[in-house]
Amino acid sequence: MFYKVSYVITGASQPGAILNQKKAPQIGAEIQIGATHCRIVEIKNLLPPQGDCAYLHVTCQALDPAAGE
Amino acid sequence: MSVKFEVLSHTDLFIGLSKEQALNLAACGKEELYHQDEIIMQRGERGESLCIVLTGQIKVEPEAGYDLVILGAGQGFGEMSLLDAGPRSATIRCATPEAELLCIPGPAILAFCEEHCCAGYQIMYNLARDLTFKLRHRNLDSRSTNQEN
Repeated sequence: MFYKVSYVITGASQPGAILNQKKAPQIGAEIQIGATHCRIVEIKNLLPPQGDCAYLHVTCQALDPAAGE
Repeated sequence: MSVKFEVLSHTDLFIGLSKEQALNLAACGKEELYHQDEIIMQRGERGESLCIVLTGQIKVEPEAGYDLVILGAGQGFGEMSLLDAGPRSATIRCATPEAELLCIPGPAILAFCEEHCCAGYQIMYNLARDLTFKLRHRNLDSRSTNQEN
């Protein structure tokens, strides 16, 4: 199983990301998206799974204050 | 070409292909290494290949100073020019200290699809599905930005 994840970052001017990953994202986990370090605050199913792939939408909060400038 | 099937099996373009098909298609491409902020594709250029992120992240800049999205391992880019033969719609830049890509010439992909019709259908389906996912992501990202403003 792998996860195709749409990441949206709140509190930052940085763009979101689309990442394929082997491990499911977890609420509270920290992740690096480009130059922005952020924490996962919400996870939703975006589409029904297909084959070995799950499609998720994840909302992150930027941890680096400079990212919002 | 040393890209392992394990990597390809988690890559959108190759979903549903057999190991042999995936490795044969990947063998049409070449691996490229980019460094932080290096330009990979330039907006307006003629598009000649579809690239897949193997490691690292890249960012998509439709216009100067505006980053639309970051793409990580397993994601492809350059597919629009493959499908419509138009110029590159965005500049693509390396967003991490390094990013490894697999770049496959567009004509090689189209030839592979013609030669292997079932696999070709799957590849085109994968491309369409990936484009719709990117649109969904863009809608979600825009909604989030609007809510903050």
